[in-house]
Amino acid sequence: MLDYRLQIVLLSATLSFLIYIIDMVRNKRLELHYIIIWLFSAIALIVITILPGALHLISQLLHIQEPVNTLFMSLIFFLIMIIFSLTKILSKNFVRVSTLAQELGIVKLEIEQLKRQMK
Amino acid sequence: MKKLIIIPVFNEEANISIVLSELKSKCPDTDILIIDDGSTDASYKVCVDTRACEIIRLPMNLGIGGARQTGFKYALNMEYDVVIQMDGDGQHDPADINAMVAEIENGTDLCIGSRFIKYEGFQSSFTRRLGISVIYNLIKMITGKRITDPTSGYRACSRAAIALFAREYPHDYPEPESIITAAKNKLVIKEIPVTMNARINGKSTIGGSDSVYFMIKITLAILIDAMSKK
Repeated sequence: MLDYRLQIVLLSATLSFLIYIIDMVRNKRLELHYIIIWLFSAIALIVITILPGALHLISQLLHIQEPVNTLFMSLIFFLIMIIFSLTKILSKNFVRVSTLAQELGIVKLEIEQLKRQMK
Repeated sequence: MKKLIIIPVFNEEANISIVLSELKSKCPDTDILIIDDGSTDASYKVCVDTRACEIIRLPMNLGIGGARQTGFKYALNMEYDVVIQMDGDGQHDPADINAMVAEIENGTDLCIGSRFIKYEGFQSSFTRRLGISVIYNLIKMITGKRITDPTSGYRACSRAAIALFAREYPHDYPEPESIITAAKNKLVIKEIPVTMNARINGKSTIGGSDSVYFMIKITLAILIDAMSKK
């Protein structure tokens, strides 16, 4: 069982964080597309904090003695998922930025050639 | 036949004008495209002053792969029949261009100029040649082809190769990796002997004390290319 103090701290921290990100999406300061994984992690964390039975059940299934370790493990899992999604986005942006730079270079040369023809 | 020489340039102000003037006198019928990959020295101005070439000035440094791919995209747009890729440091002798273009005319898609067929001219350092033999064996294992000089940046490409590389060109170690890309797409690859010089000025970008780490990275890159879809 989780200690009730830990439960209260976790729950209030996760809830305020959840409200904060939803507010930022509402104000268009974050893209919903990149936030979904955060929302999903926060909701999952809330669920396992409110239902101590859930944490207990996972602990038993995985033979983890202290349920709080299961909590840490799930937090690490969420963090890895989020960092990996960032790497994915970064790779995609790398390709997009280089393609843009290449096209921009070619277009600048073509403008240069047009100017020369007009003279 | 419309021919284009592509030379990616990054801070080569000391060498590029020599390379360009030599090319201009020896290959008057071939267009030259310089890709200035975000140089911070006077390379761009030096190239403009020669009046020998077209110049694409990239807004940021993309690395050799991204820069050269820009050249392939340009060649595809302008419908060139042959692209000759060279380095901007004076290592490659323009006298070999005709032989490579002749290979393309005879149906080769990717013609690689190798300094290890006739063993003439600059042969590179011992460690570098050791690295090259590792890459040679990797490529032989993956594609079954014997490419004696897989890191040579002196090549000629047919229309099919231009179209392929404009669409898909490796970013990290383009010389050896592009051989895998070409082989996966069933291009005809052939090597011919060329003579290379040592760089006119300055140091090569490859090698140095971290060459073991470099070899590990390049081996990984080639193995991943071997597994990737075409």
